Amino acid sequence: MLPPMTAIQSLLLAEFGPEQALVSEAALTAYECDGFTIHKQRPLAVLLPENSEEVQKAIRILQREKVPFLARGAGTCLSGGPTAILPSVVIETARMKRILEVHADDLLAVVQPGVVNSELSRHVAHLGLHYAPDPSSQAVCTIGGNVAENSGGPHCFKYGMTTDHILGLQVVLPDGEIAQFGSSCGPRAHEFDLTGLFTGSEGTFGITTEITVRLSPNPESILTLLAAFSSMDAACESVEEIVAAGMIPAALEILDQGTIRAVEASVYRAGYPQEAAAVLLVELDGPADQLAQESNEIRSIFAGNSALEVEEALDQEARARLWRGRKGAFGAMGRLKPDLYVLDGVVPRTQLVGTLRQIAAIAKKYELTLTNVFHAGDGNLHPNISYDGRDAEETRRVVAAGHEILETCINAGGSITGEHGVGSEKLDHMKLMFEEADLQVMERVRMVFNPEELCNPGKVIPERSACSEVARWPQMAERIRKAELEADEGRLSN
Amino acid sequence: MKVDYLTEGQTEVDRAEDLHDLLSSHDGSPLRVLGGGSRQLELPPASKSVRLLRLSGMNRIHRLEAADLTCSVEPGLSRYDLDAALAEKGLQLPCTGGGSLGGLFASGEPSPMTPGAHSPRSLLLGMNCILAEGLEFKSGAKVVKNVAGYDLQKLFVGSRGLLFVATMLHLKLRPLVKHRAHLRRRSLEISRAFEIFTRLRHKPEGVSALCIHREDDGIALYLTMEGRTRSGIASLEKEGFEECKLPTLLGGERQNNNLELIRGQVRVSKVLELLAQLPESVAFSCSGTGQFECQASPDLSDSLLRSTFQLGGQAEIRRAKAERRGLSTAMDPAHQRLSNGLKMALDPGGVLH
Repeated sequence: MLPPMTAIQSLLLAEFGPEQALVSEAALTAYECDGFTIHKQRPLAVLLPENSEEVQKAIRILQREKVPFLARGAGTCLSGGPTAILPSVVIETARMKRILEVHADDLLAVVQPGVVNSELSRHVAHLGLHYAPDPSSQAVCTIGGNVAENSGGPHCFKYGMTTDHILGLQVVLPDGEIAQFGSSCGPRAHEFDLTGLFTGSEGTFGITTEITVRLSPNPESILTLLAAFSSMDAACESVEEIVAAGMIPAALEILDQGTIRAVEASVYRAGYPQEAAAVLLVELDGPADQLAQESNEIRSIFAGNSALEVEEALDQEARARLWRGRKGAFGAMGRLKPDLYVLDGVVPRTQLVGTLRQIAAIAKKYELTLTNVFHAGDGNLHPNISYDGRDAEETRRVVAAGHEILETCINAGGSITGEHGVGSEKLDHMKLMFEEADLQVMERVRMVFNPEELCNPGKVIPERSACSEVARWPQMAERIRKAELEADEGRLSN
Repeated sequence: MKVDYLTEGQTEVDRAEDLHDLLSSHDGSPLRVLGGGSRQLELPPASKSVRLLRLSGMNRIHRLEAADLTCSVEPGLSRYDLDAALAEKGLQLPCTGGGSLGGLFASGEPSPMTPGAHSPRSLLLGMNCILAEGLEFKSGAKVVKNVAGYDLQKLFVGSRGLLFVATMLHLKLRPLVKHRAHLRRRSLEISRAFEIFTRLRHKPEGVSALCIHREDDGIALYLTMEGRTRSGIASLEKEGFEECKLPTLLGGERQNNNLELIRGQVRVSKVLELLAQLPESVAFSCSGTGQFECQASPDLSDSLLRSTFQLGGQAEIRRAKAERRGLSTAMDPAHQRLSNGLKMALDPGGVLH
């Protein structure tokens, strides 16, 4: 039984003061969802700690009072990861934004979780280093959030996911104890790899307070190519041929025509050819002579697939322009409709063409506006459904189409999420991918870290009793009920 | 296979179904899982008499998707056989380490030899497993990118088979490189050696393995260069590097039976400090990621564990008499508590040793 909300607010205000404890309705509204706007849950309060000890103090109070809590970084997550299922207190780590140590010789840095992803790379650029994971939201998303979700990005085809760049973690466990996983040298060989287990656990094992990350030396040279094709098949075929030729480019990204046109009509305009059915962005990095050789091979592949045109970024400005369109693609979708549902399925790369056709058929079936921008090298699709969240009937079709698309990915031998996480969005999709025994074992592991399930309760592992997405997303359920009532009234009046 | 701890015979299993049947009807007596057994004398002895459970017969390749750069293999498959099958398709598993694939991952060794290289943990995409109580489950996926559910396969890496048993491993592959060369430069003065060592660590392309050895006539640098052109190899040859055999740490070499092998890891910037605390006669090598190996007497081993801990690193005695194997630097208390909790949660009967 939760104490009355005002009592929790009063307690937190008394302990943290108004600068660090937000309780007003206006303030809390800003925290009711992340980038997955279908599910909303206004928090009971928001705490803004500045160091590990303050996170520990907050957790100890909430643990004592048996109030659920969850961490939140910049709120850019696209799956509802930092949006609570139950009324909870949000512990926002955005004020924990100090880069604590940089050791260039050791190729590592120690940061607080609120450090913005791209800020770390900027901070170490003068040392010839960078932080490799680069989610599209890297200009605003935090490294703590990246750890929680095991974020990816365009360059993870070659350089791996966030987990491959995390050497150690300091975390506050759900009982308030501070734990150290891994080390400045990486996971310890003679211990269980709790760093790897914690990364991507979506905030259900505790809250990260310090992160030791691996820094990567900047490549000797970078070469970026953009090829336009008259069909999506030709773009995907080019990707397959590049990999089959033994090349591992730093990035292989495809945007379809709908995305190209949205980008070109937006502030992210990149000069993509608007008549193209798809563009393929290829980034190579490495020794200059190797890049020249690979560039020639790739141009031959493009020619073999009847590329309409090929542009090579000749300088940093041109490279930034080509990437601006890709990185701004999700933002550009705002021009199509007020809301955007970004899906995140994965298929084996060889299944891309067939899966994209099935996705197009699903969009047609549900009469939805769907565009694609995706990490082709990894087979990580991002079908984007543009819709109007005020239209409950359309929202219902969006959710149904999303479910069917992820089912299609599973049937192709893939995954329901490549980098966005399960969050509240894909809880029920977990049952498409995992069987009861798989979930039972995950539950046993969660119980070790989070036995009272106060820390981000209800996430990652779905309830296995009869439940549906609408039961988890109360506000959406209300909208759908209203739409059904209106439909019934319409039928009656007819 | 010879081991130096108490055993009560062994059972060989060739198929996952047989393993399931065996564990489902098991009486709860202690078991120790092994593949080919090549690492048994590097692991701490079991705390009680165990029955050995050999998986070397589970050695099939179930799926090899060359175009997707993934495969699924049974844990008893040898690295040698996998490499041969992959080479036919122009592919490789881009990490070092031999023996069985299950053993390679369960041992958590080796860590990459240079910062940009793949570690085994980054290559294990998912797995099928079975708990000691007989419950079969899976974790991860067969595709190269997946964040659905908890990454339980990470718990297998380095677990030494103490938590659950693998029945299938889903692996990430890479194309075979076109040019590869193993190079060395010998008789270097220590500061010069570390200067080159540091420069090569910051070279992101081409250096796939790097290590430094203390030898009789000074410090030697060993490295592997690979890529699609020979240009990087040629420039190092101009600097005085010469071709040699595959670089390894000391563990890959013959060991003096009177000495112990200690394996550990410190930040690379601390290696010189660590080296300064060891007599010059002590064999020492260190990789580009700060993983070091040292052959020393038991007294010196104990001192090295203390020094490593003080420098913020970690180390363990890997080859020694049974009673000393597994002695290591201290673990964070919360980490220890959670590790014990995981063991209790996944193997409550304490069957796996």
